[in-house]
Amino acid sequence: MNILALWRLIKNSVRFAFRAKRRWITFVIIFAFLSAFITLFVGAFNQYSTEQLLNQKGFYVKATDEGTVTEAQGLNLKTEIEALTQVEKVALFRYFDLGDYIRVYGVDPASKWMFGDAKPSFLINGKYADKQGEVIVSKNATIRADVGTIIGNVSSTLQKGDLLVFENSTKLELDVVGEIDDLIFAQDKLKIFVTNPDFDLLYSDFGNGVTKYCQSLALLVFGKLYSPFDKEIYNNMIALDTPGEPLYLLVKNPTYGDWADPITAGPDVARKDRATRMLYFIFGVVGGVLLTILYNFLIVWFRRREVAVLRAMGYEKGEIRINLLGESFTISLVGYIIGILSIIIYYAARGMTFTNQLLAWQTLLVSFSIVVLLTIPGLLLSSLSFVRVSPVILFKAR
Amino acid sequence: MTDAILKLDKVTKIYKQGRSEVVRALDKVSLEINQGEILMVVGPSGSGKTTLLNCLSGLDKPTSGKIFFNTARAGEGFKYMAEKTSDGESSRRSPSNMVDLTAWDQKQLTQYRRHNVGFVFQAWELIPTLKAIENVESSLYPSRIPGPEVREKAKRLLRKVGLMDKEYSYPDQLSGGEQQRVAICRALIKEPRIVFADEPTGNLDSETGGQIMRQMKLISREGAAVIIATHNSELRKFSDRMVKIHDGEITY
Repeated sequence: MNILALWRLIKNSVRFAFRAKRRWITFVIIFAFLSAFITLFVGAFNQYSTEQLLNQKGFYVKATDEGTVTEAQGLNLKTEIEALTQVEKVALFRYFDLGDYIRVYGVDPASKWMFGDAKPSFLINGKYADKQGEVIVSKNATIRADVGTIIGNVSSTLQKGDLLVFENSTKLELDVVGEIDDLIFAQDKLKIFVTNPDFDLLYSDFGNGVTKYCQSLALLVFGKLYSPFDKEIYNNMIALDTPGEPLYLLVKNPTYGDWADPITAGPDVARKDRATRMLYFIFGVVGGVLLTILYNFLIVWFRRREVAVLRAMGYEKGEIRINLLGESFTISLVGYIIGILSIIIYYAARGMTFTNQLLAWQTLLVSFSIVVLLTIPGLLLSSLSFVRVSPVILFKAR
Repeated sequence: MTDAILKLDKVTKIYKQGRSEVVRALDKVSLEINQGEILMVVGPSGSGKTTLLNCLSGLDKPTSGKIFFNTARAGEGFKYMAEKTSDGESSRRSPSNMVDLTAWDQKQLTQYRRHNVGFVFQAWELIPTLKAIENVESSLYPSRIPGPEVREKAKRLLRKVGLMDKEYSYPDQLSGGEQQRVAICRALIKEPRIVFADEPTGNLDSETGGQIMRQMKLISREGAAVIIATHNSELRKFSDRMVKIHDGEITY
C-alpha cells in the first residue's frame, strides 16, 4: 500500500466515522462508561495495592508510647536499618507538640502509604497533604481558643476548606485539604498532618525548642510485589522477621529509644490480599480487554455489509481494516476522554478531590492502554471473521 | 489476438444446502465474453445468474471447471502474479494470454477486481455515511491517484449521468434511480475492463430502468464488457447478446 493511499484511507476513515451519528454516539457512550469503569477499577487496584505494600513487603515499628523515642534516636535507627541488605526503603514519622493542644505530624508525600496509622485510605474527606501549604486534620478536630500565642482563625471544628493560620512574629497559612480517621491515640490533642518542609517550618517558627519525637517507622524490603515466580520478597521478609536477626537487634537496642516489636502481615492476611488483588485485576484489566474486543466486534458487525462492498470493489483486507480502525479508534478515544472527565466532574460535584489519587498517571495509562490502544488488536481480532468471509455470503445475509 | 476477455470452460458450482441437499447452481457452463459487448444473462430467480457473476468476478470459486481471463486486456496497474498461486503452482496461461482465475488466491483475485472489475449491485450498496461524490471516489481511495484528480473524475462522471446537483447528497436523499446512477459511477471511475451488474433495474420503474440501461450501453461503447444478470427479458433490446440460464445450465 502506498503512503498516499494509506493517508487517504486513515483520514477518510476518521472523517467519515463522525457521520454515522447514531452509531457513533451510542458507541462513544458505551466507551465512556467502559473507560470510567476500567479507570475506577484500576484506580482502586492501584490504591489498594499501594496500601498493601506494607502488608506484603513491609514492617511497622511503633514507639511503645508517647515520648519514648526522640527524633535523634529515630533518625539514628533509620540510618542503621537503611544499611541492612534486605531493606529497600525506610520512612520515619515524627511529631511535636505545638502549644498545649496541637500535635503536628510530618509526612513525606512519597511515603504516605507507609504511615500505617494515618495512610491515605483513612481519609474521610478531601485529599492527603501532598505539597507545602496543605494540612489534613484528624476527624472531628476541634481547636481550643487558648492556644497561647498561636492564633488559629478557624471555627471551633476544623474541616476541609478551612484556613489554618499560625501567627506570631511570622505567619504561616495552611489549607485544610482533608480530614482523616487516623489510628493515633493522643488525648485532648488536635492532630494535624503536614509535609516534612512545613513540619520543619512550624517547628522552627512556633516550636519554641520543644522535643521532637517519633511516632513510628516503616520499612519495605526488596522484591517484586506481584510476581508469583520471584520469591525475593518472601525471603527478605523471613530474613528480617526473626527475633535475634539484625532488625530485631536494632529495634530492641535501647540506644535508639523504646520501640515495640516489628509487626508484619500474617500469612492468612497475605493470601486474602492476593485473592482480592486478583479480583480487582480480573475485573479491571481482563474484563476491560474482553469488553473492548466485544465492542469492537459490534462496530465491525454493524459495518459488515460495507466490508462486503469494499471487498467486491477490490479493497485488500488491510485496507478494509484501516477503514474500520478510524471509527473504532476515534470512538474509543473520545469515549475515554468523556469517561475520565465524567469521573472528575462526578467527584468535583460531590465536593471530593480524592480524584488526584484515583487518577494517578499510572492508572490513566493502564486504562488508556486497555480502552484506546487495545482497540487496535481488538479490532483486528474481531474483524478477522468479516474480512475473511466472501462478500457473496454477506450480500446473501441481507 | 482473441476478442474474448473472459472465457468459461465447463464451470460447475455446487452448494450444499442444509445437511444433505446439494444445489447445482452452475452446471458445466461454457461461455465467452468479448470486450465491448453487453451480455445479458436472463433467467428466473434461483437459476444461477448471480452465482455466474460471482464466479466471473472472483468473489466465488467454482467447484470445477476453469475461468480464463485475458491479461492482454487487463486494466492499467494490474500485475499478473503467476508465481503466487494458492496451490504453489504457476497458473495456466495459454499462448493467447488467457489465465485461469480459478488457480488464483484471494490476494490475486482482489488485485483482479481492483484493476479490472466494476460492480453494480441490485440494491446499489452505497455506503450510507458517504456523500454521492465520496461514494464514487471510494473506489479509488486505495489508489495512487492524487485526491484532486480523483475528485475531478468523480465530478465528470456524475455530470455525465445527470447528477451534477446531487454531488453532495447522501444516499438516503437520492431516489432509487439516482442511487443506481451513483453506483454506476462508482463502478466506472476506475475505468474497469469488465462491469458486472446484478439486476441493475430490479428496484426501479421501467422509465428509470431504461435510463440505467442506456448508461450501460455507453459503458460498453467505451470498451468495457458489460455482463448483466436479470430476470427481465424485456431488457434484451439493450444487449448485444443474450444467454438464458435455467437450473444452472446455459441455453442460447
